[in-house]
Parts: sequence; C-alpha cells; structure tokens
Amino acid sequence: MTNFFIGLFRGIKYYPKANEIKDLGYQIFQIEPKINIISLGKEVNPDAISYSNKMSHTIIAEWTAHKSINEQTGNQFTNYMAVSFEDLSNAGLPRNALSLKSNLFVVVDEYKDKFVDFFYQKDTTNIMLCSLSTNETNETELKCCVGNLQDEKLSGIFKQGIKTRKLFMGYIPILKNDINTAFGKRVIITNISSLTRRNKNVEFTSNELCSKIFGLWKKYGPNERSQIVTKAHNVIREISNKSYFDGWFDRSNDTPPKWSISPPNGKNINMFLKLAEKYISEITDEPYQPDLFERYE
Amino acid sequence: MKEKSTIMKTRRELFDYLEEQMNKTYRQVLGTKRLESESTFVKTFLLEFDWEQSGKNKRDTNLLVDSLTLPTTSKRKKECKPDISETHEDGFYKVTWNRTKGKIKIYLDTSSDVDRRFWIAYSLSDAAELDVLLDGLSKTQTAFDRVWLWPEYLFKTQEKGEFRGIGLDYDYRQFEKEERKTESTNYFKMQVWGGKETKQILEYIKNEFPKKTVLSKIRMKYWFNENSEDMFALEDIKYNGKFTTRGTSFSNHQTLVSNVRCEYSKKIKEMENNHIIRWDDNDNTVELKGDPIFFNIDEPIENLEAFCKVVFSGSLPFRLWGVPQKINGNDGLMVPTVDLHTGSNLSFEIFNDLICMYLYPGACGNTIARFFTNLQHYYGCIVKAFDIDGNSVF
Repeated sequence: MTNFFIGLFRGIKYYPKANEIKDLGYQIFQIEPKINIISLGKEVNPDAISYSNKMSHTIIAEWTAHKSINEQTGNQFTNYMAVSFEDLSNAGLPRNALSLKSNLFVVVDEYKDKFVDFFYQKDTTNIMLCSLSTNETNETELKCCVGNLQDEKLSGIFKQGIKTRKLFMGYIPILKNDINTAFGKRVIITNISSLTRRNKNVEFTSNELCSKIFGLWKKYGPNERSQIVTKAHNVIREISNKSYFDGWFDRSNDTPPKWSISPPNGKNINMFLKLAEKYISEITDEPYQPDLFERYE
Repeated sequence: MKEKSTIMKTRRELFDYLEEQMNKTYRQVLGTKRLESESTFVKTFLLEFDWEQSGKNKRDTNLLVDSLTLPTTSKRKKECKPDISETHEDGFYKVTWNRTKGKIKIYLDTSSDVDRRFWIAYSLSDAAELDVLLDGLSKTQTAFDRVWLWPEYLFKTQEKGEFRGIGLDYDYRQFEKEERKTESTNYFKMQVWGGKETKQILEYIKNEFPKKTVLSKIRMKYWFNENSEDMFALEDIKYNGKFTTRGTSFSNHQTLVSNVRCEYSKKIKEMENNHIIRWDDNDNTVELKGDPIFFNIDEPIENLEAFCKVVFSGSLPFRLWGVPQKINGNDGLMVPTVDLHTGSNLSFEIFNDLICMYLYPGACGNTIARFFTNLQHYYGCIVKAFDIDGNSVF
C-alpha cells in the first residue's frame, strides 16, 4: 500500500486519477512521520501524510491488514483522529495546508465489514475508510466503503474508486516481510552481485547490505533492524553454503561479522553472476505476493 | 603522415597539430577521394568517468592507470596497462597502450568539464583498434563508460550544421531469436552519403519505416560562424560519442564537441536529479526524492519472458543482468537488476506496453541514456521516455 499511495500522490500518470490528485496540489509530506498528540500526551506514527497547499488540506493515512477491529486497533484509530492542527503544525506541515484535515484508513477488502461497523458509529465528515482488493485477473482496486474527506474533490475521486492492472512497486523495492521469500532472496543475491561488479574483493556486513537494500532503513527501530539483519544474515549464510559457491564466501570473526567475496583460484569474479543465476533458478518460481499492508514500526 | 612522437605539452599545442592533420586529410580526400597510407582522420571521443567509484584519494595518474587498464580476458593474455604521461596542464595527459598491433595513443582531457566527469579523448591512432580498446574498457571498468547519443539527439545535432549523410542501424535479431522465429531478417542498416538531400531521404525512410529507422551516425558540415564559410569541420558523429573529423577549423570541431558534451551532461544530471529514487533523511523526517522513468512502447511486447531474456541476459548490447519475477495483482514482471557497466542496482517493471525503470542511490544517469538508445537500436524506434507526469524526458 505504501508504494501504491506514493505513486497515487506523486501523480504517476499510469494510475487512473493520479493526475487529478496531483492537479489538486497533493504531495507526500512523509512516510511514517512521528506526531506528538498534545491533548493525549502520546506519540503516533501514521503510515503516511499527504497535503495540499492549494486545497488547504492534510490527510493522515493509515493502513492495516488486521482482520477485525480490537481494542488496540480501535484506540490506534481514535488516536489518529485526535491529531490536531497544532500537532500537525508542530510536525512541520505547512500552515497553508492546515485549514482542513482528514483521516484516511485502508483495510483489506475481505475484512472490511467489521471496520465499516466501527466507522458508522463515528462522525465521518472527515474520516474515510477504503478497502484494497486484488482479483484473479490481476486487477487491484482501492474503493471507498464509508465516510468523506474534507476536500470534496479528493473525496469524490476516492468515492469513484481506483482500479489498476499496473502496480508500481519500486519506490520501496523490498519490504521487511519479504526477506525470507524467494523475491527477497533474489534481491539479496542481486545486490551482492552488484558489489562484485565494482570490486575484485568485496567486503560487507549484513547490516551494510540491508541499509543498501532497504530505502527506508532509518525508519526502522533498532529491534526491527536487528531482526531484519539476522534474517538477511541467514539468507547470505544459506547462499554461501551452496556447494557451487565453495571458496567464494568468507566470514570474519569481527563484530559485526564481515562477509568477503573473492574468486577462488583460477576463477574470475565475473563468474559470480552465473552462480547467482543458478541460485535464483533453485528458488521457487511462484509469483511474488507483495504485502500491501506492511508498515514500518 | 605519422603521429608526432613528442609529447604535446598543452591543449593549444595539440589543437594546432590536430588542425594541421584535419586540413591534410581533408585535402587528400578532396583530391584523391581517399586517404594516403598511414594517414588517419582526427578522432575525438566523449567519455564518462565516475571518480568517486574509482577512489577519490588516489593520485590522478595512479587512478588513471588503474581505470584505463584492460584486464586479462584469458590465461594466455596479459592485462594491458597504459603508460600515462603528464603535460604542462593539470588534468591533460598522454595515454599510451602497447597492443599487439602497435601502440594506441590518445590525449586525454579530464579537466575541461567542470565536474571532470565527461572527458574528451583525441587520437590519430587506428580507428578500429581504438574502438576495440574503448569498448573493452567500458565493458570491464565500471567507472568508465562511453556516452550514448539517442537518435533524436543525433538528428538535433545534425540540424546545427548542413546534412552530409546518415547511418541507420536497427537490429531486432536477438529478440527474433528468442521468439523462436525461423528466419532472422528483422534488421535495417544503411549508410547514405551526399548533400542536403540526405535529410529528405531520412524523412522519407522514417515515414515508411518508423520502427526501423534508427539514426546511428550523422555526417554534417559545421560552421561556428556562418559568415566564415571557409572555416568548417566535416563531422561524422556516431551514437557512442565518437567524432571523426576533417576540414579547415579545429576550433569549430572543438566547439561542436564541447557543445554536445555540455548538452549531454546537462541532460544526464537532470535525469539523475529527477529519477534516482532516494529517501533523504533530515533529523526525524524522511523525504522522498526522485521518481521512476517510463518507456512507452507503441507496439505491445508480445512475449514478456522472451523480451526479458534478451534485455536482462547480461550480454551486449544492454548489459543488464536480472531474473524477472511475476507479481500477484500486477500484469507485469518485476526485475531486480544489476547494471553490468556500472555495477549499480536498478529495478524494472515490464508490462506489454510500458517499461518502468527505477534507479537507486549510486546509479548513474548514463544508464538511462544507454538503455533508451539501445532499446531503439535493438527493439525499435517506437519507444518514448516519460516522467511520471507524462512529459518527455529526452
């Protein structure tokens, strides 16, 4: 969803209605910003904030893959709704975009009913609930279930729904839950391969590789980073243990441990690509299922 | 006419010498319609170099030796290290390689571009040998690349002077082979030399065969000052940034080369600024900069897998390596990619009518120009490049 939201609000012309959104002056403020809610004494991290000076409107967006609404999710939603103009201004939103504000929530289409019930009990003049679905013909659809955005034009666009058969997923090329999947492993081996193109003797830590692969690396908290690094490290170990990579990988005892890659005797560094291709061919070839609701915690 | 064995100590000295050579070759060709033996045209090359990647702390001459060494390709062959001689001007060198067929010499100007990124190389050595050497370097040295002048840009450049001819080069055979076509005949190459009418010929052919009319070379007569008709340069400019020149004015030639470099460099920097996707981190805020670039294809790609096999095989001409992946909820294929020229990371999404290219930090705008140029030469001139708003990029 983050990639989809970014593409829509940056106005990729190949997304239906994205140009209308851009014409209204919308742009991404931040992904996963920190907002202090003065009235509650709490900090929240919505998935994204978009704003338009032209429409004097700010949108606080949040998406969740939860199947139903429990106390924690309900509280989280209520907190987002409690974000005030002052809180947004303190977060650095431009004054001109703060005459109106709305909350946009996106849930999985399959589970939307429970959320619809929750939002029917609220004043939805500035809250919109949308659902996201993917059908068997590879069409992805974002549609409004209930509510309104304070900018009527933007509200109208979302109420008409947005369907696409093309998803542009490269702004954030890999998500944290992908790392153990075939796709994640491809990304890791591809990135290692790129290192071998630049140097005859390559040295890197798993942490360095992760910070290269994950565009939003700094958005992750220390615990989450450490979990990702461990997973990536295991993938690299899996790769290095393949018999055809014998003699290529070496791991030092430094802290953190360093991986180094150099061609074994009589081999050329360019041969690494052939072996990488062999590794990829061994990974299952099922279609990649992107996690449209991943968030950075 | 042999090359001078002494070293030119300044660019001015070199320019005077090359002007003499330009004049001689022009008069020879004018008189006899061919060059005398041992006589060669003046060749000038635009090259791109990434200093950061090569190691900023090294001394320039050491760095040049490393970056201009042709590595060994087999156990029998030794690597070919150049000999770098300094001149009286900073950033201006004489570079000599000892090849099996003799010495190759170039004068390398690494400093007249403000960023020192786009170099100009001048040479009187054998053209074929030079091409092999420079192609070899761009294949093996990730910091070193040639420039990639796309067909529309070549045409615009040609309009700055008077038309003297065109070279067309379209070759779809690699895709045909992958599509399992029985006969591979889908290519279209020709050269036409003459006068102003060659422009009409180009327009006629383009009208008849829009997909296959891909400009790869232009020949033009160039005056900087139209009031001085006797001071001119006759230029052959190839899409890989090679200028072959003769005529009466080296300064006109130099002006044209410098002008192309300036326009090309501006375009590459603009593309890097607009199309390298990065998340700039300021305190606790992360701001997204850059968007993908889209290549719109008029004639849908029939077989996405076959297309990807050619483009991402790692071989010439694209030199991109990646394995495509199907994605649920999407009609296309996603390809995490390595650019084998530069070693940078890219990502592509390939649809039937659209290619979306993402460049990540460390990538180079030259990659976009190379991909766009090669896509036209090998897939067809029906490709247009756009930004997210649908504005033409090239």
